[in-house]
Amino acid sequence: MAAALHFVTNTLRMLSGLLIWAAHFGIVYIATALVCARGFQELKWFGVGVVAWMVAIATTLAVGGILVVLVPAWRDLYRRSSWSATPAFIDWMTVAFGALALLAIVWVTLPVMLVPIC
Amino acid sequence: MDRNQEFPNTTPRPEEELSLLKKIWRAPSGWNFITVVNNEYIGIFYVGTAFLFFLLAGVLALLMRTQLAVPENNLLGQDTYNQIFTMHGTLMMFLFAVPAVEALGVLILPNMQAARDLPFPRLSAYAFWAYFAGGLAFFCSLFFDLAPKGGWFMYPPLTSYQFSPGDNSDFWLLGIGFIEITAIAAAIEIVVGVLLNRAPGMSLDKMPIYCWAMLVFAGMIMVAFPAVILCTALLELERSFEWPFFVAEKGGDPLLWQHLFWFFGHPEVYIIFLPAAGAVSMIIPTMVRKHLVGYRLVVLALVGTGFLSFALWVHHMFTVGLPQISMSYFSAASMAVSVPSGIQVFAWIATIAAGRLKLTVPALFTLGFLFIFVLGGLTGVMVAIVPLDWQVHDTYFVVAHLHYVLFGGMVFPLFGVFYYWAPYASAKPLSEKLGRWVCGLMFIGFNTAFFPMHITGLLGMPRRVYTYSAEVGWDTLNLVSTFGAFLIGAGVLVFLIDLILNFRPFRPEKAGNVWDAGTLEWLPSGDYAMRSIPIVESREPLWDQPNLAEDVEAGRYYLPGAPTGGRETVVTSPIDARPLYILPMPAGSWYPVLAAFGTAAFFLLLTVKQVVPALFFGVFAVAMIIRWVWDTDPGPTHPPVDIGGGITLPVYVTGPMSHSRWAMVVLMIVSASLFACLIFSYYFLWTVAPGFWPKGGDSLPDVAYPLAAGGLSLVSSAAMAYTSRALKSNRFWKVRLSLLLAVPLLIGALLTELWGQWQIGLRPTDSGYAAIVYTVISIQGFFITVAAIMGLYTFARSVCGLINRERRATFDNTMLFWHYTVVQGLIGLALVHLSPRFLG
Ligand code: HEM
Ligand SMILES: [Cu+2]
Repeated sequence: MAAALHFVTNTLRMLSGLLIWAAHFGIVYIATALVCARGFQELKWFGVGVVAWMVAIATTLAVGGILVVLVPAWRDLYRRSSWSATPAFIDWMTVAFGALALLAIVWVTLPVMLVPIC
Repeated sequence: MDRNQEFPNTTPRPEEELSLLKKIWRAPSGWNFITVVNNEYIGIFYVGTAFLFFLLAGVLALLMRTQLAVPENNLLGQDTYNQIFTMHGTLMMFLFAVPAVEALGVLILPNMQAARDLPFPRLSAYAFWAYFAGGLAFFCSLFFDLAPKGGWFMYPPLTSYQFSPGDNSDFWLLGIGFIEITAIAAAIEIVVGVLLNRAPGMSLDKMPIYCWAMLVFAGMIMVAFPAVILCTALLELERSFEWPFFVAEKGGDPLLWQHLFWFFGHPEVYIIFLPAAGAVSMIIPTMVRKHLVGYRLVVLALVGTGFLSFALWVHHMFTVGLPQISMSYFSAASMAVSVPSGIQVFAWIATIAAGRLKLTVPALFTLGFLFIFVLGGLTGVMVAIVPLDWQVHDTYFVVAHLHYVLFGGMVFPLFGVFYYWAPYASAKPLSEKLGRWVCGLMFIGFNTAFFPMHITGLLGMPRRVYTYSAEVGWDTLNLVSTFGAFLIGAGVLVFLIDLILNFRPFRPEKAGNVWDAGTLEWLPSGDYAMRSIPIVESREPLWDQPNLAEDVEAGRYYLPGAPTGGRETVVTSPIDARPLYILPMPAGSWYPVLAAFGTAAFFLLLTVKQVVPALFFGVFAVAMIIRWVWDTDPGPTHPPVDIGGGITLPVYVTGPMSHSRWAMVVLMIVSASLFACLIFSYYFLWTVAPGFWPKGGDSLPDVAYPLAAGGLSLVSSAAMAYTSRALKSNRFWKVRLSLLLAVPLLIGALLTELWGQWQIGLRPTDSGYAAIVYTVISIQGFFITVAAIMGLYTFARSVCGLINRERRATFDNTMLFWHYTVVQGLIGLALVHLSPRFLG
């Protein structure tokens, strides 16, 4: 039935920010652990260490991914009149979860510049 | 205009309708009362049992505090003290806090959503009885000197066979593993119930905050509990069969336990706190008589906390020597999670500021909670700072922090909830006068007991010591703490008196809406919940829809009777709550109760190594479960029914909207989470002890084995898909044959892989590597056993003519589980056979 599909797609969209955040966190954590366990932290590329590279790439992808979902939802929210509360609610939540996830991602990324790696 | 025309159904309703409704939903009497399944009964048993465990764990706490009151006390010895603090922590976390909030959900949610009951009432009953029997037996281990003594987080190697011989740790492992399973059963019930059983019109944005909190809560259980189930299983395998997961010399690592345990353990704190916060978000608006300020922000906070709290587990491991940068990730995430918690606190304060707070007992408890919880949050931010954590790690500072968060964040709201929702369940509300005493004694007692512990902690008093010497200067502070603990005890005693004097559950008349609250659980109700199911237009329908209670009572809304002649409720769509179909529901039955006792007996006998009787009860439990589900999937036996307002709903559906399908999907998410933790464990052990891993393909079984195993599983899945097609055209012999074929194929896949590993000489006791490989096989073996039982069960139903083109929910669920098992098996094969070849 359409209701089930509707639910799955809407839920995934609504939670996309947080899901991306979770993927980012998992990848960054596991990649760092592997690099440190295997002693690769000294590897450098253009003077920048592997861990910093990996974190930078993962963060760029994650932030990009969140924006791809967040911006259209933001626009929809802005355009929509108040006649139907539920879709507006879902758009609002999409934007808000995205924004919270952006904050958390940036927060997790910052220490790479400040803290010794392993 | 005629009032009747605005409503789905016209009144007056036929005379016999209400009496039929009453008769159908009436609880069984006499001995059969045990088989009752109504949420209002099971919910109260469930809350009551959780509260009993709170009392028992509280008595243990008082024993500990008495022991610590003066230096060099010898009331309890070292060994007893260890058992008592382990039992206290375990009971509070696993047998009180989680079940208590789950129980409240079972009790309140259906009425709050104007459903007649949650979708799987027998599952709730099963979960309750298993918890009741298993929990009490677990507690009794204390009287036989058999209680675990490794602390509530049971770190190996302390708890492994070498340092904890005897059965004590096994009680913890099997007992807790088992309690987790019942928690998952209740979580399935709650997820499906919140998503599919809401009043028409109660779209996601009109759902009471409490429903959101319970949804997030159940979702977190789905992801977090499998981790603890896995680590308890691993430790039990190590203890019973010496599979060395946590033994460093053999390529295991005790840190694996810590990772898995805290991946569960930190979210656990929020699992306990979020439902309490949800309840606070119901109490405050009622007591101020204003809508909750920032509803959307609060939803954001609940869901956001649910996610972010999973990234915190390592903050319990700051002192184990992880890479510095990794610790910063977790430190940062620990601070990020305080953002949503802060949002909630501000929303509550803003709501209070928007009106005038009536200082009733629930409101007082809420204020106490706000005060204590904010303090606990502050010390939490303090211990999230790595250097401070190094200083106070494992001191009484942590004990103070954790009780501020748990007692403040959960017990205070819970007592508020007891006072708030008592008139929902009882013929009399609890006493406002005694309630003030309860609240005052608990608040003063709590702060007297726990505030000094911050200082004892900073002075260096370690946690989990049974005594200390007089010279260190901790005695006055400890005496004060003990005095405070007894004040809390006095508060709880007054509460018990209040219960005895005023609490009158299971009566046809209820005290009802004494607070003038706005949500649906306050509608007049009987065993059948509400007389008719209203259309909801706002978040506080009782405030915004005048006469709602009276119209519901008169049967003007949907489904005023019992059109199918049995119990039923309406299933609505998960986003905007449009009525979809009628869900027939079971009445009470002995089978879930017997199955629950069988399951509990199985686990307990296993603990004391009585394998044969344990197996007997295991088989008994499975038989009872099969007998119980045999009555489900009744098929389209009833024509569509008219629920009023021109809406006619089917009584049976299959496919993606069937509620049993939703439960199956939830179960698959739980399973996937378990398997993901297993994959993590594999790679974790590989990074800490690569020396034990095969290099390249040489010391692995020949590729022919995994290829054959994978091939056999794929063919069995294909057989299932073929069965599905054959069923569509009602070709019954083909259905039965291919079902019978699929089962041995899947079992063959398992045996092939097992034989492949065995014949190269690998034994699970060899190393951490070998142990984890055999765990992958064992877990797959468990899934295949379940799939095989389901396959044979489906076959049996087909032989009995209970499955056909229209009536196929049973088959569909079996097929879904089957495909899941096959995919999981393929991933497992890839994990075990490809990783060493490509990464080694
Ligand atoms: C009546 C109020 C309570 C008192 C007086 C109390 C007292 C204590 C004491 C003395 C300890 C042992 C500290 C040590 O020796 O290390 C302890 C540990 C603990 N308590 Fe409580 N407690 C109370 C309520 C609670 C509640 C409501 C919860 C949870 C919902 C809880 C959870 C824990 C946990 C998890 C531990 C750690 C056990 C361990 O170290 O393994 N307590 N408590
Ligand atoms: Cu934590």
